[in-house]
Amino acid sequence: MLVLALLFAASAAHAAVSDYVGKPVVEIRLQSNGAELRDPTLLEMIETRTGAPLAMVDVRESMAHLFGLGLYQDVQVDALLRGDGVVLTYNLIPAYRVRRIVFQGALGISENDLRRVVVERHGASPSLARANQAVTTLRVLYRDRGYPRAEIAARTDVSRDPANAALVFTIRPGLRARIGAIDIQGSPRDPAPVVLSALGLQVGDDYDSIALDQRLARYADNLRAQGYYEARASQIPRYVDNDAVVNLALSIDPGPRVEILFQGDALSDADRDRLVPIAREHSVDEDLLEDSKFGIERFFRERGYCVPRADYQRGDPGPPKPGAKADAAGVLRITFTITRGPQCVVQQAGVVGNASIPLAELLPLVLTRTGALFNEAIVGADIARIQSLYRQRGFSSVTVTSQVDRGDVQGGTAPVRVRLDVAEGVRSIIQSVSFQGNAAIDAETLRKAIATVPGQPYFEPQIAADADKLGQLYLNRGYQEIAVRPEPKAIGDGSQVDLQFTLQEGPQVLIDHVLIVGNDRTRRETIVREVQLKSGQPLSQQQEDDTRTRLASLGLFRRVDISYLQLPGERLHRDVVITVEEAPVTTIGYGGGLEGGKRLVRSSETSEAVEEFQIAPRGFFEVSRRNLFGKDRSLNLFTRVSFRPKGVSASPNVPNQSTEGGGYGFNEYLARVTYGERRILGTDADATISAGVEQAVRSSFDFNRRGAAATLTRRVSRTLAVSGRYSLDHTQLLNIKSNLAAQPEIDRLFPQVRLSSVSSSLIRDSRNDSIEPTSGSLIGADAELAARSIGSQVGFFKTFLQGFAYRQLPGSSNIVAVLGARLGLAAGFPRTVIQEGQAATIVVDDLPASERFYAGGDTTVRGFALDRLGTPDTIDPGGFPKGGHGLVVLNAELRIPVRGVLGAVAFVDGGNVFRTVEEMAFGALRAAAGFGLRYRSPVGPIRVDLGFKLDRRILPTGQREKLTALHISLGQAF
Amino acid sequence: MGLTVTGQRAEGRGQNARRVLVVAFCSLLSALCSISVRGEIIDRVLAILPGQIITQTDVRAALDLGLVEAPAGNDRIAAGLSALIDRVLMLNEVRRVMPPEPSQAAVDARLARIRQRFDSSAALARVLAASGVDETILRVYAADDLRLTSYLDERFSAASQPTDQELRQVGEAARAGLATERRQNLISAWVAELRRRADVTVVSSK
Repeated sequence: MLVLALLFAASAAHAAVSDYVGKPVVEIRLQSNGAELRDPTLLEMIETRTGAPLAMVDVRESMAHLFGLGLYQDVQVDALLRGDGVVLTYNLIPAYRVRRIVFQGALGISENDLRRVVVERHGASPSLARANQAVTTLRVLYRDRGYPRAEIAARTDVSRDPANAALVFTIRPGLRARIGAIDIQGSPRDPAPVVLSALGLQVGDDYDSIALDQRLARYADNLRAQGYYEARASQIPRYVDNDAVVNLALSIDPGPRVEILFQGDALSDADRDRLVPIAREHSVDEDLLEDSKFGIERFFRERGYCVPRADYQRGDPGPPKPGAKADAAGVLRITFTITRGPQCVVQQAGVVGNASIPLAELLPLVLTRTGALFNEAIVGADIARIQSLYRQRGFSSVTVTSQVDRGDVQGGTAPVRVRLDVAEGVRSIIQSVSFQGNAAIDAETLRKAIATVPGQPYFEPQIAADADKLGQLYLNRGYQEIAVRPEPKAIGDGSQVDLQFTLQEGPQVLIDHVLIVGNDRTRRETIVREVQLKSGQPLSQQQEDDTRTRLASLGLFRRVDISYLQLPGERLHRDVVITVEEAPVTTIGYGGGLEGGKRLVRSSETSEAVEEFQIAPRGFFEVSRRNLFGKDRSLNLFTRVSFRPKGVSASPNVPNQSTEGGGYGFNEYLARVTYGERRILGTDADATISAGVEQAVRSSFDFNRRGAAATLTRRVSRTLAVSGRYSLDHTQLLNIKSNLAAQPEIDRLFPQVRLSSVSSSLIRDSRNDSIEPTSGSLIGADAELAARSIGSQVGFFKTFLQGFAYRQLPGSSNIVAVLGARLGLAAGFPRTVIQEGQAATIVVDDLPASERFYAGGDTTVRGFALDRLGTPDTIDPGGFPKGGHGLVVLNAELRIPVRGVLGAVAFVDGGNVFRTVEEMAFGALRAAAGFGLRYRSPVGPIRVDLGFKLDRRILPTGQREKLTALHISLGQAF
Repeated sequence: MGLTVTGQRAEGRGQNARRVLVVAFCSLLSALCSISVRGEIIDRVLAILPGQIITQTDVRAALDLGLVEAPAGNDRIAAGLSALIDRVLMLNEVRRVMPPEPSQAAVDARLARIRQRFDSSAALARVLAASGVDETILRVYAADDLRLTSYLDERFSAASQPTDQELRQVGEAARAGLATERRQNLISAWVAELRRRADVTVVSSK
């Protein structure tokens, strides 16, 4: 019975496919390498369902989905009858990914050469299906290198891991062919032994076709350097004796020695080489000589010579004279005779024949100006501009011709009158716009998508652009085969045009499955959240672009590819395959540099503020880890240190502060840890939480700050972002350089202060480049509130508004104009405090020193040292800045490219710091002007600016302000 | 003793024979079991083209529906696969130039020719079901056929016509044969170029 049952099973196994179709599926298995797979992602791709009748269409679709993952080189579906039903097994055959290329055997050729050839032709990870082509490539290489009988076989080594397969080439090069005979053909200038010696070639040598080709090329180059511009040297190898021997025929043909002579008007050597490229092209054929003639004539025409002439004469190689040296024989002389003729000057230029467009509009388009040298090319461009304007106005058949009248030559110049004749033709106006063939999108929607409307001039480029827009509209709705054809129909004399767009929509393609491949660490849902292409929706071009942009902006992937997979005959559905290549999880960055600029330091003699140019070495180290827990989360540690000169800046107020000695001190540092998460809690907002410690040196004090902050940022559009922030800081002032009596009350009361604040900001950034913008603008608005009710020791409200605009000057060679304005306003909340040791109370409504505004320095007003700018009320008697509650900074800068990576700037800055907002006045602004240099380095522009004060004043110390301030830094000022 | 020994030997040979039989029977069972566990491959990937795969059922459908031709025999699937790859590559190229949609009447006529290949509509239905092809896809196949034919005619027919000088040499009667041969050569060269440019991987041709 058992045998019979098994025999029955065996026979059932060989049933026809149609025997299975329609039978209920009783079980579905998913296997790979014999192992059962239970991955839900894989299982959901299977369209066949247990209990449902088997349909091959479901099987085919399931195969397509599974194959689309890119992980399998084959998907096989087995069917087995069990009772009245069918057991289906999907066998997934893993795709071997070639990660290594291995060469085995006595190679004969260096492994590096072999690898280079394979990688150049077939890539570093060649497809196994292309292994045979790689073998052919290697065979050609071996034959070229003298191994015509090389035996090469390719196999795959997947012994370790299918995803890390090796493509192994086993090579037996066989015997290397030797040179048996050398026959020199052609008409070499030198005897055969000399030629062979020059080529380093002799009978019995190993044959290497590639090396010989290189030597022949060098030999021909040597001949060309001697004037034999048409020299040719080549080889014809012939294998004999069972491929053991190569008989070589070398064809050496030096051609005639060419002499190029110029007579008539002068042409510089550089222009001769450029315009007559015989030596470069290795040819003296007629086409090249003709091109040279026209090139010379064009060259002179562009310089105002209206009737230049360049003729060439080709002297045949003369027969060798008896007794003459070989060099004298066969010389080909090519003589160019140049007559540049008179230089033509435009005496009059005008436009006639225009009736519909006035001269006032046309003449600005004409760059052929009276008094200028006549140039045909400029006249041609004038014609093109006038025609373009007419066509924009609906004159589609306009023609413009030029009439050039040359006067008598006087003193080597001839006057020229240029007249541009306009034949306007009929002006065509769009009478109606209609659509034909649109079934999926109604005419009204199509009409809204285009710019052309009835009553407008007929302008073909606009209509073509409209056709593109219609095509895009359809593409975004899944009509991948859309074709749009504009069909204008002229009415009567052509003054009216009925415009019809004929559309061939084709089928609408819907998305079947969205397959995501390559995400080993990143969670699928992190990617799915960004994918705009959804199953069941039309395959939209726009959504594909959005998906690509959103996935790229995650910062998790090095590469994002979106492709489509379809089955033959299946025109209505596609699987979308999104392949990502994950970026390294951990990145480390570090760098160092120098900052230079004038800073205020305490004079060791007078204890007053003096300006001193300081160079401060600085460096940073950063380590980031992205893709935390498979999501778009990151952790970043940023540290920065700066070394500033010590000694003179020491304060006698602070014990243990050295006032002696020089050198550099480790006095500025920052260490900050930031955790970031995009689209937190499923919202559109990105969150960051940071904590850090910082110590910095300011002009009047140093400070040490420890704090933490939480920020929520939402990008409203591509250019607009809003954010909200809460921060808690503890700031301690150190090395206060002002005398105690001169210090603001709040600094004396709160040398250490805890600030708890909420703030919000809005940034609109439309710059085309954040490092060196040439267009766009940056606008920012910040508001901060610190209050005792939320834990702050001092309360205040502060706003800071800033705007910068970048424009490339019209008609300039990439000169960029930058205008900037910054406005800071702050007010402290009054607070009554009892001073230590005193009975009386005082009211403090100031901001802590670290929160007040300061100006002067390399990014604000560049005629002043750092923080040196301020009204007299904001500078203490020792000359140190106290900061203020009001700030104005205005900037104007021209950025001028000089040459290569060098650039220059000219700037005018203005601004000031005011003690209170009420005291702010434009009349009190201080101005500075100056210039600077920029060196565009790989890490950004290196900047040197020298600013000059435009109104030097007497400082509280009685000294006059210094005229200049020098700044050296990295990056543009703003 | 000797008999006993002999008897034991005879019994031993008998046991050995039974063991051999048991082993052979088990092997047969095992073989049959392995066949039954493995089942029959009803579909698999045969070739990979850019953005597309060709499966075993695609090839069978193309052969059964007459979309591609292949001689009968053991290599029929391989030949059919090769022809189907050519057809897919040609159609991809044809779609790039966005040819006009064939008329419904032309598609219907082409479908009728396909149906004529079968004895009954039930026979056609069986083939469609076994291939995973429905009426919609069948219409697409028919329309593709028409597009392809139209494209090939437009591109190659004029270029295939023999010159007057050639006709003088071979005679007017050979005009059709010469044109057909030349057309086929031109198409073959074009397809070879398409194959060279495309990344085609044949996974299996059986």
